[in-house]
Amino acid sequence: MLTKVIGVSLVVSVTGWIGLQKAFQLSRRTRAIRQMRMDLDFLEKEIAYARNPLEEALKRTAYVSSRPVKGFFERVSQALQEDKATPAREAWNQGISQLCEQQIFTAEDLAIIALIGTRIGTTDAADQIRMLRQAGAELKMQEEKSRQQEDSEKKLWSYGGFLVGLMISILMI
Amino acid sequence: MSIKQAMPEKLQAQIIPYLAPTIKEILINLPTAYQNQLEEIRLRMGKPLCLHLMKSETFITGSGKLTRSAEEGYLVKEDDITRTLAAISGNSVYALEEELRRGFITIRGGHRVGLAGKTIVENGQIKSMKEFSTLAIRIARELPGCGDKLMGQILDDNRLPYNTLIISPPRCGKTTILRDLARQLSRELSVVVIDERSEIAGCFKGEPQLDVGPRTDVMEGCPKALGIVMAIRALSPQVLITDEIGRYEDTQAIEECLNAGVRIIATAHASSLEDLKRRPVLQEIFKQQSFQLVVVLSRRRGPGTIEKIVRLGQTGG
Repeated sequence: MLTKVIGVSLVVSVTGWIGLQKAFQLSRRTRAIRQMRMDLDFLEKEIAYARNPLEEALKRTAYVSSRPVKGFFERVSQALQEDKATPAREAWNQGISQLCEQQIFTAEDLAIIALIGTRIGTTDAADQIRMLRQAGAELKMQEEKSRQQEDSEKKLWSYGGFLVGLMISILMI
Repeated sequence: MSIKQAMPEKLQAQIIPYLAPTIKEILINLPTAYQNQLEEIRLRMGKPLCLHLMKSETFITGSGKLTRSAEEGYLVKEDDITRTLAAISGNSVYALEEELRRGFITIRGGHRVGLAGKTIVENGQIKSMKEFSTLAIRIARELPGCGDKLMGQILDDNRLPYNTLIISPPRCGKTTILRDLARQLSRELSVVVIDERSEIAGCFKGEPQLDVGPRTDVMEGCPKALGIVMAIRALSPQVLITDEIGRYEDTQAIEECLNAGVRIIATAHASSLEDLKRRPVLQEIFKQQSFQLVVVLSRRRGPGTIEKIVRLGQTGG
């Protein structure tokens, strides 16, 4: 009997934990997209009004940013600092690789962010503003989608994990 | 400020770091004799890497050997242009809009990088440039003392310079001599340089990279006509120095300068006095008798060869 109780608790805990993790991941993505949007907005001001060199603009963006996006801007500005002849595109891609490893953003989100890297720092201010605003608008749509997904799936994952655990336990008993 | 560094040292410290790794590798081992003669490094996308030396133009192979044959020259890749431009612009083309409109960027050391690419035109004016295909890195050369000969000729009894116009075709050393005159005159006089194209003082982030003397104020990137009037009001110069006059508004500003009792030394593109007189705007200057001296330069015995000094007041032009 004791073995069964321990077994059921174990299965319910594991599936419940997986469900909670998934639910947490959903809200984490929404928060991360929002953070990225805010940071790109800050970067736009640094480029368009302050006309700070890209390396400094990215460093300042990293300073005002928060995890998990902060590391991205730190990485890109560091890559530019290490070798002056590194094109911004390459440095930006290094940051994207770091974001990939974090597994917070979806491939769709990353494609929008990566697209900025193809033009960042290489055109005039008006074009940079257009590009960053376009990316911001697309990320806003992604954020909205993520929020909707979060609303509809968060409760499902939060409770679903435990329920699935219970079902598995009943079937096994 | 790194003024008057020996050429190879200057090249290694101020030019090489801006180059794409491949080009850097090729040029880093260029023999010192050629480094001393180097005037320009020209990167054209898909074309052989070209060096302008003092007396010749040559290509350079991938192994760093100079060659006359274009086929043997190292072919500049798009990546070389991208990386060099990234270093020169600090990946911040948006912060260099004024420079792009003018077609060149001044880097630390006062060196100029001429650009060619796709221009963006708005209302008939060049707004910006993109898709760069050529980078012409022109090495700023200071020749302290190159104006010595002229200094002896342009000072009056009160040790003030005559209003002097220096003329020559391009690449005859007008700007180099003008810079040296500013440097020498500012030992005793208050000088203002109106440096519309950042060629005389080679300012980088506001600091003159080339020696224009201890009493010289530089108005960088300022249109000559506006700069002359502004300088007279704000900086009370004794001597005003500017490059490449040629627009109608320049003549008016020069007139104002002379009325204020400020001496002026300027340059203009022309191969001879006769050539100069044929140009309508400069004709106006002669009518006004603005200049007392006209100095004609050539490259006959190297850049800065003084061909003729004409005293207009005495000879009647």
